Amino acid sequence: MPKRFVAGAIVFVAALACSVADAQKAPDSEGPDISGVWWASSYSPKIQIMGGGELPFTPAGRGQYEKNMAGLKNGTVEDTARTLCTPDGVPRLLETPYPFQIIQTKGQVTIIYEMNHAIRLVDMTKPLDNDETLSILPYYGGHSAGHWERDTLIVQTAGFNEKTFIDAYGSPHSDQLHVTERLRRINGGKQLEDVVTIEDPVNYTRPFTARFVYDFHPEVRLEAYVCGEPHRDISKVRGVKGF
Amino acid sequence: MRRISSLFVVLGLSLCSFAAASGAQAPGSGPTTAKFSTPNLSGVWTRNLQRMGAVKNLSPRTDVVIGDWQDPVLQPWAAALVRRHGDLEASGLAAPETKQTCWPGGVPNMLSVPSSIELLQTPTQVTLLYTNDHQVRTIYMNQPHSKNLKPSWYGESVGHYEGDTLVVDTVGLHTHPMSLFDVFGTPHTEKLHVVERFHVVDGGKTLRVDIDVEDPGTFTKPFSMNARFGKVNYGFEEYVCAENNPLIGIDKTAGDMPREKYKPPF
Repeated sequence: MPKRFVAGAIVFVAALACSVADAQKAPDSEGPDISGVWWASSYSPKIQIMGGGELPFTPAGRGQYEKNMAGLKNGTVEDTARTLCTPDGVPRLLETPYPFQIIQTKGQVTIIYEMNHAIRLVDMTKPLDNDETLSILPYYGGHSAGHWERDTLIVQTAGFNEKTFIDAYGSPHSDQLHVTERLRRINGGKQLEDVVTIEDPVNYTRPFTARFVYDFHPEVRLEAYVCGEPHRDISKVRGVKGF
Repeated sequence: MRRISSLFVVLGLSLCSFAAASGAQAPGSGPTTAKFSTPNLSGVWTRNLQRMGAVKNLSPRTDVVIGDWQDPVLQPWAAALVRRHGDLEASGLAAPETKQTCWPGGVPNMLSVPSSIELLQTPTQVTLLYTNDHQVRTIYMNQPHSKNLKPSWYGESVGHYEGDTLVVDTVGLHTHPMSLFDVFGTPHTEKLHVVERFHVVDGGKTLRVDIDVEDPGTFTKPFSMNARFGKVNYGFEEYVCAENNPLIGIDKTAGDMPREKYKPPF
Protein backbone atom coordinates (compact mmCIF):
# COMPACT_ATOMS: atom_id res chain seq x y z
CA MET A 1 0.00 0.00 0.00
CA PRO A 2 1.55 3.36 -0.98
CA LYS A 3 2.58 5.53 1.97
CA ARG A 4 0.84 8.54 0.49
CA PHE A 5 -2.46 6.64 0.43
CA VAL A 6 -2.07 5.56 4.05
CA ALA A 7 -1.35 9.10 5.21
CA GLY A 8 -4.20 10.42 3.11
CA ALA A 9 -6.62 7.91 4.55
CA ILE A 10 -5.66 8.83 8.11
CA VAL A 11 -6.12 12.53 7.42
CA PHE A 12 -9.43 11.82 5.71
CA VAL A 13 -10.75 9.83 8.66
CA ALA A 14 -9.47 12.52 11.03
CA ALA A 15 -11.23 15.21 9.05
CA LEU A 16 -14.40 13.15 8.98
CA ALA A 17 -14.28 12.49 12.72
CA CYS A 18 -13.58 16.16 13.44
CA SER A 19 -16.32 17.41 11.14
CA VAL A 20 -18.86 15.08 12.72
CA ALA A 21 -17.88 16.41 16.15
CA ASP A 22 -17.81 20.02 14.96
CA ALA A 23 -21.17 19.75 13.29
CA GLN A 24 -22.79 19.48 16.67
CA LYS A 25 -21.69 22.62 18.46
CA ALA A 26 -19.19 25.40 18.73
CA PRO A 27 -15.88 24.11 20.10
CA ASP A 28 -15.81 26.77 22.82
CA SER A 29 -19.22 25.92 24.26
CA GLU A 30 -19.18 24.07 27.55
CA GLY A 31 -20.78 20.86 28.73
CA PRO A 32 -22.03 17.80 26.89
CA ASP A 33 -23.43 18.21 23.41
CA ILE A 34 -27.23 18.38 23.18
CA SER A 35 -27.28 20.68 20.14
CA GLY A 36 -29.20 19.97 16.95
CA VAL A 37 -32.77 19.65 15.75
CA TRP A 38 -35.18 17.66 17.95
CA TRP A 39 -38.79 16.69 17.27
CA ALA A 40 -41.40 14.97 19.43
CA SER A 41 -43.03 11.87 18.00
CA SER A 42 -46.20 12.32 20.04
CA TYR A 43 -48.35 15.16 21.28
CA SER A 44 -50.79 15.51 24.16
CA PRO A 45 -52.96 18.61 24.64
CA LYS A 46 -53.14 17.77 28.37
CA ILE A 47 -49.98 17.68 30.45
CA GLN A 48 -49.25 14.11 31.61
CA ILE A 49 -47.93 13.80 35.16
CA MET A 50 -45.19 11.21 35.69
CA GLY A 51 -46.71 8.31 37.59
CA GLY A 52 -50.20 9.26 36.44
CA GLY A 53 -52.99 11.05 38.30
CA GLU A 54 -54.63 14.42 38.10
CA LEU A 55 -52.98 17.79 38.59
CA PRO A 56 -52.79 18.62 42.34
CA PHE A 57 -54.96 21.73 42.17
CA THR A 58 -55.48 24.07 45.10
CA PRO A 59 -59.13 25.23 45.41
CA ALA A 60 -58.16 28.46 43.61
CA GLY A 61 -56.35 26.46 40.91
CA ARG A 62 -59.29 24.17 40.32
CA GLY A 63 -61.66 27.11 40.07
CA GLN A 64 -59.45 28.81 37.48
CA TYR A 65 -58.96 25.54 35.55
CA GLU A 66 -62.70 24.91 35.31
CA LYS A 67 -63.30 28.50 34.27
CA ASN A 68 -60.62 28.23 31.55
CA MET A 69 -61.92 24.85 30.31
CA ALA A 70 -65.48 26.14 30.02
CA GLY A 71 -64.37 29.43 28.45
CA LEU A 72 -62.17 27.74 25.84
CA LYS A 73 -65.17 25.59 24.86
CA ASN A 74 -67.77 28.35 24.61
CA GLY A 75 -65.40 31.01 23.26
CA THR A 76 -65.39 33.39 26.22
CA VAL A 77 -61.71 32.56 26.85
CA GLU A 78 -59.45 32.91 23.80
CA ASP A 79 -56.34 30.74 23.44
CA THR A 80 -54.33 33.62 21.96
CA ALA A 81 -51.27 31.38 21.59
CA ARG A 82 -53.22 29.60 18.85
CA THR A 83 -55.39 32.40 17.42
CA LEU A 84 -52.96 35.34 17.50
CA CYS A 85 -49.68 33.46 17.91
CA THR A 86 -48.71 35.05 21.20
CA PRO A 87 -45.97 32.99 22.90
CA ASP A 88 -46.85 29.60 24.43
CA GLY A 89 -44.60 30.18 27.41
CA VAL A 90 -42.98 27.47 29.51
CA PRO A 91 -43.83 24.61 30.04
CA ARG A 92 -46.44 24.65 27.22
CA LEU A 93 -43.64 25.10 24.65
CA LEU A 94 -42.29 21.69 25.63
CA GLU A 95 -45.50 20.11 24.29
CA THR A 96 -44.89 21.42 20.76
CA PRO A 97 -45.58 19.00 17.87
CA TYR A 98 -43.13 21.00 15.69
CA PRO A 99 -39.34 20.61 15.67
CA PHE A 100 -36.99 22.83 17.65
CA GLN A 101 -33.25 23.46 17.60
CA ILE A 102 -30.74 23.73 20.43
CA ILE A 103 -27.65 25.87 19.82
CA GLN A 104 -24.76 25.85 22.31
CA THR A 105 -22.37 28.79 22.37
CA LYS A 106 -20.09 30.20 25.05
CA GLY A 107 -22.13 31.12 28.12
CA GLN A 108 -25.51 30.42 26.58
CA VAL A 109 -27.81 27.64 25.45
CA THR A 110 -30.34 28.89 22.90
CA ILE A 111 -33.51 26.98 22.05
CA ILE A 112 -35.39 28.00 18.91
CA TYR A 113 -38.85 26.52 18.44
CA GLU A 114 -40.24 26.35 14.92
CA MET A 115 -43.76 26.97 16.22
CA ASN A 116 -44.26 30.74 16.29
CA HIS A 117 -40.44 31.12 16.15
CA ALA A 118 -40.28 31.17 19.95
CA ILE A 119 -36.80 31.79 21.35
CA ARG A 120 -35.49 30.73 24.75
CA LEU A 121 -32.14 31.95 26.00
CA VAL A 122 -30.60 30.00 28.87
CA ASP A 123 -27.89 31.97 30.65
CA MET A 124 -25.10 29.57 31.64
CA THR A 125 -22.95 32.22 33.32
CA LYS A 126 -24.84 32.85 36.55
CA PRO A 127 -27.70 31.56 38.71
CA LEU A 128 -31.24 32.80 38.22
CA ASP A 129 -32.01 36.17 39.82
CA ASN A 130 -34.32 36.15 42.85
CA ASP A 131 -38.10 36.40 42.41
CA GLU A 132 -38.20 40.06 43.40
CA THR A 133 -35.73 41.05 40.68
CA LEU A 134 -37.41 38.85 38.08
CA SER A 135 -40.85 40.27 38.84
CA ILE A 136 -39.75 43.67 37.48
CA LEU A 137 -39.88 42.36 33.91
CA PRO A 138 -42.21 39.38 33.64
CA TYR A 139 -42.00 37.53 30.30
CA TYR A 140 -44.21 34.97 28.54
CA GLY A 141 -41.19 32.67 28.41
CA GLY A 142 -39.86 33.72 31.82
CA HIS A 143 -36.15 34.13 32.45
CA SER A 144 -33.88 31.07 32.35
CA ALA A 145 -30.52 30.15 33.84
CA GLY A 146 -28.78 26.81 33.52
CA HIS A 147 -25.86 24.68 34.62
CA TRP A 148 -24.53 21.19 33.90
CA GLU A 149 -24.67 18.27 36.30
CA ARG A 150 -22.63 15.58 34.51
CA ASP A 151 -24.62 14.70 31.35
CA THR A 152 -27.68 16.74 32.31
CA LEU A 153 -28.50 20.38 31.61
CA ILE A 154 -30.50 21.81 34.52
CA VAL A 155 -32.58 24.85 33.50
CA GLN A 156 -34.37 26.98 36.08
CA THR A 157 -37.05 29.32 34.74
CA ALA A 158 -39.11 31.93 36.61
CA GLY A 159 -40.28 35.53 36.20
CA PHE A 160 -43.36 34.73 34.13
CA ASN A 161 -46.35 36.86 33.25
CA GLU A 162 -49.81 35.32 33.78
CA LYS A 163 -50.88 35.31 30.12
CA THR A 164 -50.15 31.68 29.27
CA PHE A 165 -51.52 28.25 30.13
CA ILE A 166 -49.58 25.20 31.30
CA ASP A 167 -51.24 23.16 28.54
CA ALA A 168 -53.92 23.36 25.83
CA TYR A 169 -56.59 22.41 28.39
CA GLY A 170 -56.11 25.78 30.09
CA SER A 171 -54.33 24.53 33.22
CA PRO A 172 -53.52 27.82 34.96
CA HIS A 173 -50.39 29.27 36.48
CA SER A 174 -49.58 32.40 38.43
CA ASP A 175 -46.54 34.67 38.32
CA GLN A 176 -45.12 32.52 41.12
CA LEU A 177 -44.55 29.68 38.64
CA HIS A 178 -41.11 28.04 38.87
CA VAL A 179 -40.06 25.50 36.26
CA THR A 180 -37.04 23.20 36.58
CA GLU A 181 -35.99 21.18 33.54
CA ARG A 182 -33.47 18.35 33.37
CA LEU A 183 -32.36 17.78 29.77
CA ARG A 184 -30.10 14.95 28.64
CA ARG A 185 -29.49 12.67 25.68
CA ILE A 186 -30.82 9.14 26.08
CA ASN A 187 -30.92 6.00 23.92
CA GLY A 188 -27.33 6.39 22.72
CA GLY A 189 -27.93 10.03 21.93
CA LYS A 190 -30.80 9.46 19.53
CA GLN A 191 -33.31 11.04 21.87
CA LEU A 192 -33.47 14.05 24.19
CA GLU A 193 -35.30 13.73 27.48
CA ASP A 194 -36.71 16.76 29.30
CA VAL A 195 -37.99 16.00 32.79
CA VAL A 196 -39.79 19.11 33.95
CA THR A 197 -40.89 19.95 37.49
CA ILE A 198 -43.57 22.59 37.88
CA GLU A 199 -44.15 24.55 41.07
CA ASP A 200 -46.86 27.16 41.61
CA PRO A 201 -48.19 27.39 45.18
CA VAL A 202 -51.14 29.54 44.08
CA ASN A 203 -52.63 26.88 41.78
CA TYR A 204 -51.05 23.57 42.89
CA THR A 205 -50.68 22.00 46.33
CA ARG A 206 -47.30 20.41 45.49
CA PRO A 207 -44.69 20.37 42.71
CA PHE A 208 -45.45 17.89 39.92
CA THR A 209 -43.30 16.42 37.17
CA ALA A 210 -43.83 15.60 33.48
CA ARG A 211 -41.48 13.97 30.97
CA PHE A 212 -41.02 14.85 27.31
CA VAL A 213 -38.95 12.86 24.82
CA TYR A 214 -37.79 14.16 21.45
CA ASP A 215 -36.08 12.39 18.54
CA PHE A 216 -32.86 13.65 16.93
CA HIS A 217 -33.51 14.92 13.39
CA PRO A 218 -30.24 16.17 11.90
CA GLU A 219 -31.84 16.15 8.43
CA VAL A 220 -34.55 18.67 9.38
CA ARG A 221 -34.17 22.44 8.96
CA LEU A 222 -36.50 24.69 10.91
CA GLU A 223 -38.95 26.46 8.59
CA ALA A 224 -40.41 29.96 8.80
CA TYR A 225 -43.63 29.76 10.85
CA VAL A 226 -45.95 32.62 10.04
CA CYS A 227 -49.20 33.18 11.87
CA GLY A 228 -52.06 32.99 9.36
CA GLU A 229 -50.23 30.79 6.86
CA PRO A 230 -50.29 26.99 6.48
CA HIS A 231 -47.45 25.23 8.27
CA ARG A 232 -45.40 22.06 7.97
CA ASP A 233 -47.34 18.77 7.91
CA ILE A 234 -47.25 17.32 11.43
CA SER A 235 -49.83 14.58 10.92
CA LYS A 236 -47.14 11.94 11.60
CA VAL A 237 -46.84 13.14 15.21
CA ARG A 238 -49.04 10.84 17.31
CA GLY A 239 -51.91 12.68 18.97
CA VAL A 240 -52.09 15.28 16.19
CA LYS A 241 -55.41 15.18 14.35
CA GLY A 242 -54.11 16.04 10.87
CA PHE A 243 -55.60 18.45 8.40
CA MET B 1 -7.32 -5.29 5.38
CA ARG B 2 -9.98 -4.87 8.07
CA ARG B 3 -7.23 -4.46 10.66
CA ILE B 4 -5.55 -1.78 8.54
CA SER B 5 -8.86 0.07 8.15
CA SER B 6 -9.33 0.04 11.92
CA LEU B 7 -5.85 1.46 12.28
CA PHE B 8 -6.80 4.36 10.01
CA VAL B 9 -9.83 5.07 12.16
CA VAL B 10 -7.87 4.95 15.42
CA LEU B 11 -5.08 7.15 14.06
CA GLY B 12 -7.62 9.47 12.50
CA LEU B 13 -9.59 9.87 15.72
CA SER B 14 -6.38 10.45 17.68
CA LEU B 15 -5.37 13.14 15.22
CA CYS B 16 -8.78 14.73 15.64
CA SER B 17 -8.50 14.69 19.44
CA PHE B 18 -5.01 16.15 19.20
CA ALA B 19 -6.23 18.92 16.94
CA ALA B 20 -9.12 19.69 19.28
CA ALA B 21 -6.90 19.65 22.38
CA SER B 22 -4.30 21.95 20.87
CA GLY B 23 -6.94 24.40 19.75
CA ALA B 24 -5.99 23.99 16.09
CA GLN B 25 -8.80 24.89 13.75
CA ALA B 26 -9.14 24.66 10.02
CA PRO B 27 -9.62 28.12 8.50
CA GLY B 28 -13.25 28.91 7.85
CA SER B 29 -14.62 26.14 10.02
CA GLY B 30 -14.49 27.75 13.38
CA PRO B 31 -16.20 29.80 15.86
CA THR B 32 -16.34 32.75 18.04
CA THR B 33 -13.26 33.88 19.86
CA ALA B 34 -10.07 35.63 18.88
CA LYS B 35 -7.97 32.48 19.20
CA PHE B 36 -9.70 31.14 16.09
CA SER B 37 -9.19 32.37 12.59
CA THR B 38 -12.79 33.27 11.91
CA PRO B 39 -13.99 36.76 12.86
CA ASN B 40 -15.93 37.19 16.08
CA LEU B 41 -19.26 38.79 15.17
CA SER B 42 -21.16 37.27 18.10
CA GLY B 43 -23.08 39.32 20.60
CA VAL B 44 -26.01 41.72 20.76
CA TRP B 45 -26.08 44.56 18.22
CA THR B 46 -28.67 47.26 17.90
CA ARG B 47 -29.97 49.11 14.86
CA ASN B 48 -29.47 52.87 14.50
CA LEU B 49 -32.16 55.06 12.96
CA GLN B 50 -30.55 55.28 9.55
CA ARG B 51 -33.06 54.69 6.74
CA MET B 52 -31.84 51.90 4.50
CA GLY B 53 -33.47 51.22 1.18
CA ALA B 54 -33.42 51.11 -2.59
CA VAL B 55 -34.03 54.88 -2.78
CA LYS B 56 -33.48 58.05 -0.72
CA ASN B 57 -35.86 59.34 1.95
CA LEU B 58 -37.50 62.59 0.79
CA SER B 59 -39.01 63.29 4.19
CA PRO B 60 -37.15 65.59 6.59
CA ARG B 61 -38.95 63.93 9.52
CA THR B 62 -37.71 60.75 11.15
CA ASP B 63 -41.22 59.40 11.80
CA VAL B 64 -42.43 59.85 8.20
CA VAL B 65 -40.91 57.80 5.40
CA ILE B 66 -41.29 58.97 1.82
CA GLY B 67 -39.19 57.14 -0.74
CA ASP B 68 -37.91 58.90 -3.85
CA TRP B 69 -40.25 57.17 -6.30
CA GLN B 70 -38.63 59.00 -9.23
CA ASP B 71 -35.31 57.20 -8.67
CA PRO B 72 -34.42 55.53 -12.00
CA VAL B 73 -33.43 52.30 -10.22
CA LEU B 74 -37.15 51.50 -9.82
CA GLN B 75 -39.10 49.91 -12.65
CA PRO B 76 -42.46 51.67 -13.23
CA TRP B 77 -44.58 49.15 -11.30
CA ALA B 78 -42.26 49.39 -8.30
CA ALA B 79 -42.15 53.21 -8.53
CA ALA B 80 -45.98 53.29 -8.37
CA LEU B 81 -45.99 51.29 -5.14
CA VAL B 82 -43.25 53.42 -3.54
CA ARG B 83 -45.22 56.55 -4.51
CA ARG B 84 -48.43 55.16 -2.97
CA HIS B 85 -46.55 54.27 0.22
CA GLY B 86 -45.11 57.81 0.43
CA ASP B 87 -48.51 59.42 -0.25
CA LEU B 88 -50.04 57.45 2.63
CA GLU B 89 -47.22 58.52 4.94
CA ALA B 90 -47.44 62.17 3.83
CA SER B 91 -51.18 62.20 4.47
CA GLY B 92 -50.54 61.32 8.09
CA LEU B 93 -51.56 57.67 7.83
CA ALA B 94 -49.02 55.01 8.64
CA ALA B 95 -48.32 52.98 5.52
CA PRO B 96 -48.25 49.22 6.13
CA GLU B 97 -44.86 47.84 6.95
CA THR B 98 -43.31 44.85 8.65
CA LYS B 99 -42.89 46.11 12.18
CA GLN B 100 -46.48 47.37 12.45
CA THR B 101 -48.15 44.31 11.04
CA CYS B 102 -46.22 41.38 12.53
CA TRP B 103 -45.26 39.82 9.20
CA PRO B 104 -41.68 38.55 8.91
CA GLY B 105 -39.18 41.16 7.75
CA GLY B 106 -37.55 39.11 5.03
CA VAL B 107 -34.17 39.83 3.49
CA PRO B 108 -32.76 42.47 3.36
CA ASN B 109 -35.61 44.39 5.02
CA MET B 110 -35.04 42.70 8.38
CA LEU B 111 -31.79 44.71 8.57
CA SER B 112 -33.80 47.94 8.52
CA VAL B 113 -36.28 47.04 11.25
CA PRO B 114 -35.29 48.94 14.41
CA SER B 115 -34.38 45.99 16.58
CA SER B 116 -31.55 44.45 18.48
CA ILE B 117 -29.97 41.39 16.93
CA GLU B 118 -28.22 38.63 18.83
CA LEU B 119 -25.75 36.93 16.51
CA LEU B 120 -24.71 33.35 17.33
CA GLN B 121 -21.81 31.65 15.52
CA THR B 122 -21.20 27.91 15.36
CA PRO B 123 -19.09 26.08 12.76
CA THR B 124 -22.12 24.99 10.76
CA GLN B 125 -24.54 27.84 11.26
CA VAL B 126 -24.86 31.55 11.98
CA THR B 127 -28.12 32.49 13.65
CA LEU B 128 -29.64 35.95 13.90
CA LEU B 129 -32.16 36.39 16.71
CA TYR B 130 -34.21 39.58 16.45
CA THR B 131 -35.73 41.21 19.52
CA ASN B 132 -38.49 42.55 17.27
CA ASP B 133 -41.18 39.86 17.30
CA HIS B 134 -38.56 37.19 18.13
CA GLN B 135 -37.85 36.64 14.44
CA VAL B 136 -35.06 34.19 13.53
CA ARG B 137 -32.76 33.99 10.50
CA THR B 138 -30.51 31.03 9.88
CA ILE B 139 -27.40 31.11 7.69
CA TYR B 140 -26.04 27.68 6.74
CA MET B 141 -22.25 27.76 6.55
CA ASN B 142 -20.01 26.37 3.82
CA GLN B 143 -22.62 24.73 1.66
CA PRO B 144 -24.25 25.43 -1.70
CA HIS B 145 -27.83 26.53 -2.23
CA SER B 146 -30.44 23.75 -2.34
CA LYS B 147 -31.81 22.52 -5.61
CA ASN B 148 -35.58 22.95 -6.09
CA LEU B 149 -35.77 25.61 -3.41
CA LYS B 150 -39.27 26.42 -2.19
CA PRO B 151 -39.57 30.22 -1.82
CA SER B 152 -40.12 31.46 1.74
CA TRP B 153 -40.14 34.65 3.83
CA TYR B 154 -36.41 34.53 4.63
CA GLY B 155 -35.42 32.48 1.59
CA GLU B 156 -32.31 30.34 1.90
CA SER B 157 -29.13 31.93 3.21
CA VAL B 158 -25.74 30.26 2.83
CA GLY B 159 -22.55 31.79 4.15
CA HIS B 160 -18.78 31.61 4.38
CA TYR B 161 -15.99 33.70 5.85
CA GLU B 162 -13.65 35.83 3.75
CA GLY B 163 -10.99 37.19 6.11
CA ASP B 164 -12.77 39.32 8.70
CA THR B 165 -16.09 39.19 6.84
CA LEU B 166 -19.10 36.89 6.92
CA VAL B 167 -20.46 36.70 3.37
CA VAL B 168 -24.11 35.63 3.12
CA ASP B 169 -25.86 34.79 -0.14
CA THR B 170 -29.68 34.71 -0.08
CA VAL B 171 -32.14 33.57 -2.76
CA GLY B 172 -35.60 31.98 -2.70
CA LEU B 173 -37.42 34.99 -1.23
CA HIS B 174 -41.12 34.69 -1.92
CA THR B 175 -43.55 37.49 -2.72
CA HIS B 176 -46.49 38.60 -0.61
CA PRO B 177 -48.20 42.01 -0.20
CA MET B 178 -46.18 42.46 3.01
CA SER B 179 -42.85 40.99 1.84
CA LEU B 180 -41.35 44.43 1.34
CA PHE B 181 -37.81 45.15 0.24
CA ASP B 182 -37.36 48.19 2.50
CA VAL B 183 -39.12 50.79 4.70
CA PHE B 184 -40.25 52.77 1.63
CA GLY B 185 -42.69 50.08 0.58
CA THR B 186 -40.48 48.95 -2.32
CA PRO B 187 -41.65 45.53 -3.55
CA HIS B 188 -39.53 42.70 -4.96
CA THR B 189 -39.95 39.60 -7.10
CA GLU B 190 -38.73 36.04 -6.58
CA LYS B 191 -35.68 36.95 -8.70
CA LEU B 192 -34.31 38.95 -5.74
CA HIS B 193 -30.72 37.97 -4.93
CA VAL B 194 -29.04 39.53 -1.89
CA VAL B 195 -25.38 39.28 -0.84
CA GLU B 196 -24.63 40.63 2.64
CA ARG B 197 -21.14 41.19 4.01
CA PHE B 198 -21.11 41.38 7.83
CA HIS B 199 -17.97 42.78 9.42
CA VAL B 200 -16.98 44.60 12.60
CA VAL B 201 -15.56 48.13 12.33
CA ASP B 202 -14.75 51.04 14.70
CA GLY B 203 -12.59 48.87 16.94
CA GLY B 204 -15.41 46.44 17.68
CA LYS B 205 -18.11 49.03 18.36
CA THR B 206 -20.01 48.69 15.08
CA LEU B 207 -21.30 45.82 12.99
CA ARG B 208 -21.45 46.99 9.38
CA VAL B 209 -23.39 45.11 6.73
CA ASP B 210 -22.65 45.94 3.08
CA ILE B 211 -25.44 44.69 0.89
CA ASP B 212 -25.41 43.99 -2.85
CA VAL B 213 -28.82 43.63 -4.45
CA GLU B 214 -30.10 42.44 -7.79
CA ASP B 215 -33.67 41.84 -8.86
CA PRO B 216 -34.22 42.21 -12.63
CA GLY B 217 -37.98 41.96 -11.98
CA THR B 218 -38.04 45.13 -9.85
CA PHE B 219 -34.89 47.18 -10.35
CA THR B 220 -33.30 48.54 -13.52
CA LYS B 221 -29.77 47.61 -12.33
CA PRO B 222 -27.93 45.99 -9.41
CA PHE B 223 -27.03 48.36 -6.56
CA SER B 224 -25.50 48.43 -3.07
CA MET B 225 -26.52 49.80 0.32
CA ASN B 226 -25.40 49.31 3.93
CA ALA B 227 -26.70 49.02 7.48
CA ARG B 228 -24.87 49.67 10.74
CA PHE B 229 -25.48 48.28 14.21
CA GLY B 230 -23.91 49.37 17.50
CA LYS B 231 -22.59 46.89 20.09
CA VAL B 232 -24.64 46.86 23.28
CA ASN B 233 -24.10 45.29 26.67
CA TYR B 234 -27.69 44.59 27.58
CA GLY B 235 -29.27 41.26 26.88
CA PHE B 236 -32.05 40.11 24.65
CA GLU B 237 -35.54 41.32 25.53
CA GLU B 238 -38.92 39.70 24.89
CA TYR B 239 -41.00 41.76 22.44
CA VAL B 240 -44.27 40.25 21.26
CA CYS B 241 -45.66 41.91 18.15
CA ALA B 242 -48.98 40.08 18.48
CA GLU B 243 -49.87 42.12 21.52
CA ASN B 244 -47.64 45.19 21.53
CA ASN B 245 -48.50 46.60 18.14
CA PRO B 246 -49.55 50.18 18.89
CA LEU B 247 -51.22 50.70 15.53
CA ILE B 248 -53.50 47.70 15.47
CA GLY B 249 -57.07 48.74 16.00
CA ILE B 250 -56.18 52.41 15.66
CA ASP B 251 -55.21 52.72 12.07
CA LYS B 252 -56.38 50.08 9.64
CA THR B 253 -54.08 51.33 6.89
CA ALA B 254 -51.34 49.49 8.73
CA GLY B 255 -53.02 46.32 7.56
CA ASP B 256 -54.45 43.49 9.55
CA MET B 257 -52.22 41.65 11.93
CA PRO B 258 -51.71 38.00 10.99
CA ARG B 259 -54.27 35.82 12.68
CA GLU B 260 -54.42 32.05 12.32
CA LYS B 261 -56.75 31.28 9.42
CA TYR B 262 -56.03 27.60 9.79
CA LYS B 263 -57.35 25.90 12.86
CA PRO B 264 -54.26 24.24 14.33
CA PRO B 265 -54.35 20.49 13.73
CA PHE B 266 -53.25 19.74 17.28
